[in-house]
Amino acid sequence: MTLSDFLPIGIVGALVVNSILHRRLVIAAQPLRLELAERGEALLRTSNLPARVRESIEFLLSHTFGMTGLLLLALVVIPFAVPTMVVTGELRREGEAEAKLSVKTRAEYNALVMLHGRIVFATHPALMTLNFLEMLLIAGPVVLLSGALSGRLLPEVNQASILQVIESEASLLSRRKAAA
Amino acid sequence: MSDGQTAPNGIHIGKDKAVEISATDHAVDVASDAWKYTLNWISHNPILFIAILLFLGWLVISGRQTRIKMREMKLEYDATRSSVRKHGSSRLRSVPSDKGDAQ
Repeated sequence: MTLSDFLPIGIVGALVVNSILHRRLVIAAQPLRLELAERGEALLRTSNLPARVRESIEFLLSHTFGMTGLLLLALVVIPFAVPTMVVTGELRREGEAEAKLSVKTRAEYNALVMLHGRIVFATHPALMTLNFLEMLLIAGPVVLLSGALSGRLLPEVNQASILQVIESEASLLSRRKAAA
Repeated sequence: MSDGQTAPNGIHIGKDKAVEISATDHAVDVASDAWKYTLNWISHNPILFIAILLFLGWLVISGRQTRIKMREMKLEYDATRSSVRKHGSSRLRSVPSDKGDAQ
């Protein structure tokens, strides 16, 4: 029996270990999800929240489970979507809506975004890492270049807002396809 | 076999006709080789093969259990959301919050 004979069982063994770790992480993320539900819903009760921020919180709350499809889509779409969002001013509007929030509400909103990021990272570590790297390598230079050309830096941009735009574009596209 | 000869299977190969292996034939050959390799591997490593089957079976069962658990957690999550929406705070559980620290 040679070492290569063990390759198939090694692959299956790795799948089993991955499955065990994934299951444990999914379960371990549940308290974070419940915390997100509490804090997100509480934030939504805040009066005079800008519509964009409200939509963004709704997005975070409704995307704590089953993010695989969206993250895969984002991996493909981000190289095209981020420059488009910068050119059309979508990212600027997103950031400006956040800038209108009071300091306390903005801190709570940012904490919510971070919490959502932790949940998605725990349940999809590989996909989230790839997305993060893509954002760092593509969105970072594009945002800086845009700032250099326009003489104004874009307001704070986070991954969740980009995912939200991608998701809304994708659902708009599928609705159009269904209607056609 | 050179051009202009008749192959053992009776097909005449013309001088200006090249023998081409289609993509389908190539795929069939590859699949056949893979199948032979698999059977050969199983016949030489029956215990490892049984171990792999057991692992795969466990993966299927574990995957199903994870999906059931996910469904339960989703229900709990939705219940927490609607509870906070209705009552202003969750009556299902006490959530450890770092709000106090942040302030």
